[in-house]
Amino acid sequence: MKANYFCRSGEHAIARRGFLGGVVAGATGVVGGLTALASPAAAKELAAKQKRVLVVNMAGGLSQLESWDPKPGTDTGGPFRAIPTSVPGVHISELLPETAKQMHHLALVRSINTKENDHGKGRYFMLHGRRQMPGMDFPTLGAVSARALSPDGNGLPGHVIVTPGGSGGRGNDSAYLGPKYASMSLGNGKPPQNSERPKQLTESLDAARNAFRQQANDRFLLKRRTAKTDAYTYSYEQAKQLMARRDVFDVTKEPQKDQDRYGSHDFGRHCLLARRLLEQGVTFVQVSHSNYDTHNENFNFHIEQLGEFDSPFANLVNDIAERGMLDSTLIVVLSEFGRTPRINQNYGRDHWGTAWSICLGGAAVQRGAVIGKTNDNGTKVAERQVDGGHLFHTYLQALGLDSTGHFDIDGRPMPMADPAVSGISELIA
Amino acid sequence: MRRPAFLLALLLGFVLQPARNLFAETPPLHTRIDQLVQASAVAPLAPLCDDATFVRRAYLDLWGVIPTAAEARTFLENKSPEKREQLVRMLTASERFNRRLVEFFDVMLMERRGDKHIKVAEWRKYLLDSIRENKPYNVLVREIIAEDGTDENLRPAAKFFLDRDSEPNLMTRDIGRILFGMDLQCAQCHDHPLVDDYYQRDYYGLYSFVNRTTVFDDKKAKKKFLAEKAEGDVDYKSVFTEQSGFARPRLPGEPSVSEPVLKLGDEYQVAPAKDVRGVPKYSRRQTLAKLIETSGNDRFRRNIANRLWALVMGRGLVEPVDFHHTSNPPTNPELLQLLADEIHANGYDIKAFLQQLLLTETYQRSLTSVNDSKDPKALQTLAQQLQEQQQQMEETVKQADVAYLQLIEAVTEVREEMLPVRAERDKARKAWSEAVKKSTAAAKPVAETTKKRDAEKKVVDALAPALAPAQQAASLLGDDKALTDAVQKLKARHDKHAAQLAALEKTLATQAAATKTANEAVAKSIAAFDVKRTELRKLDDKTRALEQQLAAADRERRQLVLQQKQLKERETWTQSLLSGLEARTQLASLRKQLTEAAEQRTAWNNQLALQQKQAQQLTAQLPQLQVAVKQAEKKQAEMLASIARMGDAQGELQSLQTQVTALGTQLKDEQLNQVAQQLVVKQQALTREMTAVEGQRAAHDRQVADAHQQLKATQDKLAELQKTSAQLQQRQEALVAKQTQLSEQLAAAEARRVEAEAQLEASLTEQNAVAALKPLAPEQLAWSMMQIGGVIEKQIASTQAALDKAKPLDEAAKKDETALAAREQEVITAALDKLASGVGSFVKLYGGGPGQPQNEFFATVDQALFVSNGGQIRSWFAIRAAQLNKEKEAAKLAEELYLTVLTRMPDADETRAVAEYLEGRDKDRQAAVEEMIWALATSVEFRFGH
Repeated sequence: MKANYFCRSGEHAIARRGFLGGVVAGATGVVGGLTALASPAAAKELAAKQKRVLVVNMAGGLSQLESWDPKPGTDTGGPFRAIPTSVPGVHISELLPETAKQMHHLALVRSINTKENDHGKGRYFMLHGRRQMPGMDFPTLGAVSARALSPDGNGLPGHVIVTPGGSGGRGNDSAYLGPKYASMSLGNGKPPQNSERPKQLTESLDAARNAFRQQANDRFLLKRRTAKTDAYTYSYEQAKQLMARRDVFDVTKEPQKDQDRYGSHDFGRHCLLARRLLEQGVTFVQVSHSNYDTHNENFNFHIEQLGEFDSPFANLVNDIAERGMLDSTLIVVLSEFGRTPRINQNYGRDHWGTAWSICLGGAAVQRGAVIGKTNDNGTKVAERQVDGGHLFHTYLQALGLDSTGHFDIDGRPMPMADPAVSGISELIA
Repeated sequence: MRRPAFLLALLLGFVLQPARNLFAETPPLHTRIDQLVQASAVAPLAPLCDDATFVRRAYLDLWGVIPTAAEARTFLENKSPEKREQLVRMLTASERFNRRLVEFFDVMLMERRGDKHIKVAEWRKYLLDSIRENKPYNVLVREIIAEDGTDENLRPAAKFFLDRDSEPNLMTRDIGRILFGMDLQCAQCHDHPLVDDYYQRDYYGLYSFVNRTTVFDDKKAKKKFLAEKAEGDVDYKSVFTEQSGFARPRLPGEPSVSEPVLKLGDEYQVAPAKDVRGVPKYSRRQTLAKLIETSGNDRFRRNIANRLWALVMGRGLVEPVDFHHTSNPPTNPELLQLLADEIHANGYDIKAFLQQLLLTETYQRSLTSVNDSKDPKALQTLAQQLQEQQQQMEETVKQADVAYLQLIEAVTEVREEMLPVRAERDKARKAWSEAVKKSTAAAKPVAETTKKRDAEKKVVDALAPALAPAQQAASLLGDDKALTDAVQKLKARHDKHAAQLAALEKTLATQAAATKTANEAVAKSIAAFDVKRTELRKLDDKTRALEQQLAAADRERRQLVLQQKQLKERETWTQSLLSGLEARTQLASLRKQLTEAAEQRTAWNNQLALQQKQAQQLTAQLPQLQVAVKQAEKKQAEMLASIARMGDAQGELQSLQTQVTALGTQLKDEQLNQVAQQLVVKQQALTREMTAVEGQRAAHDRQVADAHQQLKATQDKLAELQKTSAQLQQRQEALVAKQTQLSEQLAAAEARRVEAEAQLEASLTEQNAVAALKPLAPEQLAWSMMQIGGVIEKQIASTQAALDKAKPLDEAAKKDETALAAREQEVITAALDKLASGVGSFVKLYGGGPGQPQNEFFATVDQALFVSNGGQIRSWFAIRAAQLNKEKEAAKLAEELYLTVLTRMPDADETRAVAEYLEGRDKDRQAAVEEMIWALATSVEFRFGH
């Protein structure tokens, strides 16, 4: 006999027509969204209420000992000191002096054990909230955020990844949520592909041909109009809006003073671009900083890398707070894993998923909190062990979402986060 | 035509096996399909689409591309009544159709995965060859499962497993989804929480076929192949209920397979080892392949029938196509069953099957539904009847459910019972393998000893015959010391070796005994294993018997449930028709009320305005009237004053005359008498005057009274007017409130109508009463955009020319159909392969991610940006624009433009719009044409209108 392990409530029943109804509601929502955007005041209000996410991916595996969980004076601690931060009693590595001043906006989780020492698998776990399993694929935090938080009617994509290089394009990271929520990459911060009008085509000619298209559409839609046709016509409206707002992707439009402040290197520019995108209402922005895979010369590398990271990141946190966006913006600095407490013969540290840390803040994350701890020399988690699954729930909860809820995918309920684990509730204010 | 069809549907709705039995002879499949559609639909069926829609639809479905303007024109101008059938036959006979099917199977089986262990090009070539020879679908599936990559000819078939790295969970999920239409993913860890028909044992039934297969890396050949082990069983355990079971290989809905018993240690053709690819004597994967090919599993049939239906009809009878289960029933179960049975009966001939689908009227339905009003009473009656029939089935369904669940439970119990036995069997197997090891160890010294013994024996055998003659010679010769010594030496040697030989014989005997014991142990362990295996088999047979019953119970339950659900479905359709009707009626009534209210309001407004005008006029008269009153009163007063004055004068005259008369009499003065006389005359004159004035007094009084009356009358009128105006105003306000309320109701009704129409749209599509709206797939979109640019024709022509030049056909070949067909194949393959890269960029944007389900429609901003600003499309459109621009007459240009892009003639408005667009664009006319091409190619009609 089948066990009743889920409540067999009406909500769980598969209702094909309910789903269709949802599509219809969505389509009308689109219309409302467009009009809402037509008024700048309404758009501004929308932006203030709208939740956003900034992820900084420390690619390669940031050393927790040289950053969020220093262990000075121990056999594993390395040469650097720990310095006090703006939160009394909380110390971080001396390599992050500017970030230390922003600690009252942030929080730390120092008890991560993902049991994952492979770059690919570690990254998957941290960004998808679930372990990579054959035969299964899950959407990333970015896709989930875009789906759950992006307002309809914003011409900008909901899920943006600023990549260090490449030509941009759509990522394959939304799994069953579908390509609509897949990431749009901005290769080295360049605007999206094909967003520039061909030179021969003036704005007025473009408007004329669009009017001709509209005319053709009107004729057809009188005969047949569905959620699909609405979605299709809407994508062209979105394209028009995006082209009109193409400046959003142009970081040189920011004041020179800010450009100087963030620095001219890639990471600085990408941080400033992230600020710009978040301000304009993009739901999810991910920037990355590479490379922290320091099997050799761990300490020299961290001086150099964190030296580049510290100031732009601190500026970004400070600016987000000053602009009143901190309560609506979740900030996460993550990595695929940490680095071994043991220092190898090349003065390096190796892959380490056993006891490491991340930094997060903003949204409903309790400011200045420190969750969990490792033992004295950082070789294992001593308290409140968590993994990528718990963190994923926590991010969603910090954004005001019910992380135990599910998406309805074509009549198939798909849990938003791994139902086997739960979030770090004490971290949510 | 439509109404009788609807009535027929009404009548036959109550008969479970309609239509089919009405005919003694079985009509062709396409007719039977139409009959079943008609019998099940509750809405009137849309008329057949026009020729322009049909030609576009058929080209898109069969060739995957819109027709060229010339092709469209040929069809439109064809006067034959059979031209649609002719077109279908022409299109399906072409190599282009083969390529279209390659796309279909590639997307279905590999879900747009790229190159991995097998290159996409090789895989597609394999598919193309298979489709050219019209390989039955079940054979194709057998090959993609069975092939391990070693047969060079069929190696690409192994892509299905190899490129999924033969990961058993992935294989199970994809075989379930793609080949059986069952997404069992959730059943990996537990029985599906929401789907009654998906069990963990189904998942592990499939899993057991594939979990022994792995990818083998042949380092020498630098290729990957499939290897398989002969052992490896699976247990499963629910993460929720802790219920566990022993999985046996079985197809969904069928009993588990009965497997051959191979002697322990004799399971492999090639035993697996390091760098050695294992090949078992009995392969579970091969068994799966064979079973799928031959068993005619009904889920397998239904899956492919439904997918092919979805391919051409735009919507599967079950949607999503990989989610068949009784809670997601087919929209027309009987039809799906017919299709499933037919595709099995025709030997899985995909082309013949598709041809039949294309010939149905159902395929040819118009995109626009019939919108004639229907009697709601008849619909309500129908809905009620359908409801009653459902209720009547309730008990039967419940019983079938109970029977089914009891069997499930029984099977589950035995499966659980098997677990400890299986553990013992595995233990016995381990014991056997230990025994074998020991026996091998024991056998090893025997060989060595035997070798030594044989050597020793050879020596002894050589020495022994020499010894006796030597001894005899020595005794004959007496004291030949040298000889005696030699003989002694010889004997010593002989004895030593003989002793050694004896010792070795003894060792050998011991060792042989040990080997014998070890062998006996092996035999014993085999026997012990066999006992356990037999025990397990018995349990397995027991389960299989139960599973056989279960399969029957499942079929029965399924049939009943689907029948009931179909009634429910039809009731829902009826309801959606009703609510659509109701919403429309309500909307119309509200609109009418609103119009009436508006009219009333206008009338009242006019009236009010009139009254106001009157009031204004009256008010304007008031001061004048007041003045009149005052004037009359003044005149009256003046008159009264003059009367008074005259009275006074009269009095004075009287007293003067009295005095004068008295004096005249006294003095007898004549003069005085004369004066008195004159005074009398004067007095008389005054009196006359006074009388005259008195006479006017009444008139004056009347005048005053009149003026007063007039004023009062006007004032009264004004007051009255104000009173009615106020009343009118009040009513008017109430009316405005009512209007607002009506408007609100109207908005709500409009929203309800939108929702009702969306439901109606879904329901009409589900009933196949109207053609489904099917967006162009990425490949169709790409090829069609190229077609607009004329790129395909050009490429085919140039390839043809090049081939004719390089390899000219001789006269005989030019008359030989086979040779010509081969040439066509060659040309099309070379030409279209060359253009395939242009498809790639569309697939990347319009398709789902590699390995993700591909049938979801979505529209994203990067797609719109790509077609709006991308260089590739611009270059295609520019070619066509240059060509169209040669047409100087706007109307003709419009015709060619619409035929090229939308496969139809423009209407008058559109022709005018084209002319208007070209106005003032003499300098850049070509650019203007290109803009219009773009506008039509990005229109909703281009993507959906076919």
